[in-house]
Amino acid sequence: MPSQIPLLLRPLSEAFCVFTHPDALVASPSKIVSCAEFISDVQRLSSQLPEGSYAINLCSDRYAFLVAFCAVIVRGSTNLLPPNKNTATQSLLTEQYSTSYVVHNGDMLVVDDVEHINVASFLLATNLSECDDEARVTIKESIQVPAISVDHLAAISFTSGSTGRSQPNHKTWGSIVRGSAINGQYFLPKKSLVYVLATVPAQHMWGLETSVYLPLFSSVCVSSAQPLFAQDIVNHLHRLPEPRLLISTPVHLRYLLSSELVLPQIDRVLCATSPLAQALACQIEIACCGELMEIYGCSEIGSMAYRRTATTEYWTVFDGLEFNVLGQGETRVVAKHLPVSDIVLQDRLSFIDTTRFQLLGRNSDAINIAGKRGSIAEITNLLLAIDHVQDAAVLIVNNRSTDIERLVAVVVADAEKNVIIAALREHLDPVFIPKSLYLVGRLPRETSGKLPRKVLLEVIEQHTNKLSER
Amino acid sequence: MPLTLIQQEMAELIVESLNLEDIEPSEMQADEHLFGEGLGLDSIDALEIALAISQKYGVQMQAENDSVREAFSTLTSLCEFVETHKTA
Repeated sequence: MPSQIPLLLRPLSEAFCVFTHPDALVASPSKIVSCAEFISDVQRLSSQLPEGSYAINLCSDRYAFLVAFCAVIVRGSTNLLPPNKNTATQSLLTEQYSTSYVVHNGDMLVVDDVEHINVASFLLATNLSECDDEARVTIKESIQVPAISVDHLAAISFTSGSTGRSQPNHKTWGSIVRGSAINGQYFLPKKSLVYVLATVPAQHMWGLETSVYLPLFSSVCVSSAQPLFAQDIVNHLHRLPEPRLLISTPVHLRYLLSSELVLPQIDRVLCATSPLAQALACQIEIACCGELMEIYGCSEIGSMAYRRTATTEYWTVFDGLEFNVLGQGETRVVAKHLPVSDIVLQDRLSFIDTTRFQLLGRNSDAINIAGKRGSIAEITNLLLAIDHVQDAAVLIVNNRSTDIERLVAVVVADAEKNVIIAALREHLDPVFIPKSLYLVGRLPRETSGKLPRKVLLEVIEQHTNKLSER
Repeated sequence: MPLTLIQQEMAELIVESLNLEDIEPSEMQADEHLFGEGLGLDSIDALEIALAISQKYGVQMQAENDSVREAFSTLTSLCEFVETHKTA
């Protein structure tokens, strides 16, 4: 690998972003920003950034995020990407990384006494589209794409910590470029230019790999929006030319389908962060007249495998990764392009040949009751396969008074408890039937689809208290 | 101040769609904040409420034409949003 790699590896005249004004109250048509205009914005912002080695990048507008992300790198600094925008998180990061400042686009609270810059105001104040055509041509011709050292620490992303404390993951420029080249082969349909809309935030690993890295190295034009409501998703999709690609999560896709709105054609939907039920995958493919690819990954490495969920349960591993199943449910992954040493996965995998595997469940999900081995994921999948069950989670709860472990299921369903239990009995050994089953309106999933055990336990506790009061 | 009929109906829709078992619709305040402090709802709750509103009133919540964050701030503003768009 060369010692330096350009910030952008694409023809400068190509479309980079479909920019919609981040402030919903300002009515302005969306416009297409070229790669040249993007680089020009990056260079201008990089000379205006505050002093400091770390930038806490909290931009919600994807174009503002991209410009800030790259300007910070060009400046020789590092992006910090926290799992949320809370002022408590900001304070913690500014304590840990003493020379840091916040970049945002004006839609959130910035903690007092921290230096910050509103990227949206900056971009709008010096809007390139205001220039006349002659000025734009001059800008395009004088653009030099900055070269970045492969060893430069470009970003530190923090996991949301559903399995424990928030962990930092260090990403060098070289590892981003290499990882993104591999991802591009699998994420993108074989077409010249693809228009991308993402419902996930740029700061999250899944949004970062797709909506931020891809436009820098592949023929991708990304929408600056991050729509949440179904009607907004549909509107933003209509704004994009074909072929379209939608990046989302099982939770967002479920609500999009429930809205029963007519979707424009989407050539491909990429889905990750939590397992997607096969039935939902099939419905999505029908609704968007395209294919749905589900991606398997972990925060340390990023995306590692894919499957077309509607047609197969087997995952195919990406190039450049070496999986070693060591027994005892332990799998290690070696990624040659990453600075990290080998990673022990939280999941149990079973390989059917050198490149394809089945996901058996999370390691911490392994259950051993009365000498019988089971998996929480297996029970969860059985629950999800029952008619009228929309969402489900199973966990092991330790009874404080008896110190006996028991299985508890929390289920979202339009069905009676006894019907659900009866359906489970058809498949499971009695020891693996959850001893308590709570029907709830919805599971306390985070925006990313993750389900922190602590929050789930609180839901159970609320239900138990309520029952004992009656 | 007691809720108006429309606000009471919206309160019931929120409590039912989110299964807020520890809250009675009549206990909700018209100007209490739904997100952040107050009821403390999150973005997935917003999706859930938006889905229930579209099913009941045929109104699609969208952030673009109106500031949806404003609409979602209280029971009063949510009712106003739905009323405006129902007749539109």
